[in-house]
Amino acid sequence: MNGLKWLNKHLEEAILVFLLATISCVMMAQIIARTFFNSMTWPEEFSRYCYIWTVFLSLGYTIKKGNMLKVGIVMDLLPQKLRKRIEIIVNVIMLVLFVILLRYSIIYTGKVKSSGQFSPAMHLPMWIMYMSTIIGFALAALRMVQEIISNIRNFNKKAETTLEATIKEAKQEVQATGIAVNDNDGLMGGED
Amino acid sequence: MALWIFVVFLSALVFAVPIAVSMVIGAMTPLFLGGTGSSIQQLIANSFSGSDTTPILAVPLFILGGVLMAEGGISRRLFNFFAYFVGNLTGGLPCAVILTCLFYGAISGSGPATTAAVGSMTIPFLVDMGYDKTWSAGMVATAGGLGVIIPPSIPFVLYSLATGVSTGALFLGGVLPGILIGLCMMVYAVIYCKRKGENKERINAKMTELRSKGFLSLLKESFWALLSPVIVLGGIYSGIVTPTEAACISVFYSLFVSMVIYKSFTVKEIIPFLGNAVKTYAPLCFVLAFAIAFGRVLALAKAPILIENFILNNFSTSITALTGIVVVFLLLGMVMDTGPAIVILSPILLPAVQALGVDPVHFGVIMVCCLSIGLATPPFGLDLFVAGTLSSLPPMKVAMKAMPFIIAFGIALFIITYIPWFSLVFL
Repeated sequence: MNGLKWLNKHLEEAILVFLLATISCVMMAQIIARTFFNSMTWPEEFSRYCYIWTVFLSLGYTIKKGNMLKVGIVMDLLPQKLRKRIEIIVNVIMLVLFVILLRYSIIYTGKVKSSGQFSPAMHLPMWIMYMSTIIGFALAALRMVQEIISNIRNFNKKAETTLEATIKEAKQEVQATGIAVNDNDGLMGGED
Repeated sequence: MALWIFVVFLSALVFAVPIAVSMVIGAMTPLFLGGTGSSIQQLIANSFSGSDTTPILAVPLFILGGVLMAEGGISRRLFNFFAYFVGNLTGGLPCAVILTCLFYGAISGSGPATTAAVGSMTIPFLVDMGYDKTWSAGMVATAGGLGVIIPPSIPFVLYSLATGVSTGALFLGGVLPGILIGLCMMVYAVIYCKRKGENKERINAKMTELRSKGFLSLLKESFWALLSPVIVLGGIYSGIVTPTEAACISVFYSLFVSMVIYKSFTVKEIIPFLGNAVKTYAPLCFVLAFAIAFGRVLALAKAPILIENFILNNFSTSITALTGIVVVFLLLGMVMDTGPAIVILSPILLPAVQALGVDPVHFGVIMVCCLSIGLATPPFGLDLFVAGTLSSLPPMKVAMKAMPFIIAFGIALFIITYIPWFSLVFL
């Protein structure tokens, strides 16, 4: 159960962190290899595919974290109840959209599989890369369902305005440096 | 058809539908209306192939490099270095803060992060030296936005991805405009200090303390941080590395400096930084992917041509057209994030302004400058809120004192817009 809870909280994040670390290391290895030995073709392709997985997995991640980029200024002006209702409708539309995209990504990936395409450098079957669209949209739909449930449950709680979200973001930004700040108390003093 | 796509897209935005999803809905409009457009399968294929390029990798890598470097506690080192030169002059310390923002932004590439890191250290310090707290906060909030103009800069990478203009050329184009904006702000800071007077006694005491450390020891402390943009830019212009590879090198350079030289964190602590970087770029990832797919649908609907005709019919010269566009960008920057605004608008507008004889690099610089002011303007300028949080002041009070700095920024912006020389001199 705890494992499931952890997955619910961190699944996409953990994969995204892993992919970022992999991209950095593989690209660096490629630069070193190119400078001192022979240029390799696979690292670039491999990094690109890692990034494509990042793109589609980031959907579920940002829904979960609630930090999708949007323009909230008009909605902030509406009364609470109306705003909440619109929010739920928008979320349901998004859910439908992700399900549609999921359906078509399954069809498209099937097509790629039957066409027998291979990647140019690593000779991996291309359908493995297109699996990212299926898994990405499936996770996005799942996260959307979770979001809608929490929307309905918290219907009577006050919705977060863009202003409040900005304040929260600012606080996080300050906290991110907070640790470093305490180390640097002696402003002009510095370490000797 | 193009009009319908825009109407659907904009109404989705108004209802606070996430920008990326609004683009998908907009891209599907022709299908609903039975017109010619991409099928949903093409849409998926386009967002896939749009992400399948090497230059796009520069975005996560530059962001990670910035996050890692910012942990090295370099804002204080940079500030001490600049204060050594200008601290004794009238308005010298505020100028040193602006210079620190300029350089720090070059390293971190994020406005709010620059405001937080530089402000957390310099606002209390300036207050201690007798400067007005709200004024100091307003200054850091505005100067924090400079970071996205001085290269390496994420918005330039995004503009390059959306339009195909060379990243290296854009980086070069941003250097002088960034410095010009910094200069305009410094001029205002000096005038302000001349008028209000400064607590010279305290400042001189601090400066003597700082000078006693000696130039060499200050240079030694800040050297590694100052070197970072040099390595990245030098690598790109000498042709040794591509911008993507330079971004990757900046990641490992930052790791090296922070862990080996400044010893600000250990291997075990890396994962939270990776998490931080992911949090910053994840919202951009699929905005980018879908923007490419959306752009192709718009191109099919001949939207760029329609916009081009509209601009050519209504504005006869590049100067009037650019003025109009600048005003729109400034307003847009107030409510929308820089990244999505760039990737959506630049491919649509570039053909039109090019037809009027505007250089693509010059246009990129204008766009990034305009949108970066949005970080310091109400109602949602994140930099204002960061500075407000740091100084425990209401953000709108900070905004009032930031106004003259924003005006200085604006003056520089108009010079940059009307005199292409600033953006193109190094090309």
